[in-house]
Amino acid sequence: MARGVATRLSRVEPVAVRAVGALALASLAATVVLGLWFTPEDQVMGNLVRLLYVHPPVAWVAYLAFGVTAACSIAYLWPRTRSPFWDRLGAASAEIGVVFCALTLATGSIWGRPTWGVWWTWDARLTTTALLLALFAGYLAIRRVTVDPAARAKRSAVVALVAFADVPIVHMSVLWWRTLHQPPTVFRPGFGDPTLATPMAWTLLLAFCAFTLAYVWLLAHRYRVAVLEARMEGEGLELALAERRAEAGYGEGPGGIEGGAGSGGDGPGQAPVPVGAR
Amino acid sequence: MNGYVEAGYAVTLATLALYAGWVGRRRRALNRAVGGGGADRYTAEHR
Repeated sequence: MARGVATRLSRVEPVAVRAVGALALASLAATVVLGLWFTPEDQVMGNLVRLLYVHPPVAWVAYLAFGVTAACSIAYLWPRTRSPFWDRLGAASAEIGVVFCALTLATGSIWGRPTWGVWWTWDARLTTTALLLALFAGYLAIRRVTVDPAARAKRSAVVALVAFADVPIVHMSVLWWRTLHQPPTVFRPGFGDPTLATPMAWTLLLAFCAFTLAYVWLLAHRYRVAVLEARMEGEGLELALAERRAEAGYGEGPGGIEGGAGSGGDGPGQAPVPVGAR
Repeated sequence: MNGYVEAGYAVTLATLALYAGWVGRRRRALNRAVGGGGADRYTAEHR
């Protein structure tokens, strides 16, 4: 199944990826122009409301990216669908999610300073978001310390699922606890009556689409990097194995230490050949 | 307008541009390392 998904994805590349990239760029530019110059000011917040077209969409993409990582982790842990494809896609999405989560905290801090008078406060929403960033940074760290690809994929999938449990806590934190952060404007329980003027709502919708397209474009490219990294890792392993075989005497001919007939190695007189070269 | 608003937009767009640039550079470096010779080995093999 995963192989089929990968094959189908690869068939639509690179034209689809370029189209998504162009759409993302155009919609981001439109968001900036509309958000900075054409949308109205807010009666209470004034011009600061323009950060609305950046901060919530960026937070949404962080949720989405971590959600994709969690879904890929389930697909990897499920024996019927286990494939390196899900592991690589989940890791690629997590890295992008960390970037967007850091941006969520940065833009929130920039918005908080003039609104609340502080860059940071140990508010429930801010604290749980910082925890989310730390958890997925830990996920990326775990991927770097485990050498065996299968063990790494399994461990990181479990960590991703544990880390993702924080996402609903982050989202509901403004309803569960008394916080400085305002309650949800759009994704409120019941999805009823978003409290936005029409031009603001359309620009916000455009911003959500723009940042989502940027995420899809980044994911396609980051996934390619993950595939190439895996190949490098495999080639490095094969090279190391070939060197160890050479050190142990494989390939020295019939007179070698283990190179004689029936040794079960590379056969008499054969030089060590990387597996991928056969 | 408001320095905070411009700062928010600038930080977001600059971070995304830097990250996209890093991914692109890493991809090109890996393509060279696996013998792509500068061509996009991943794309070539998956066509």
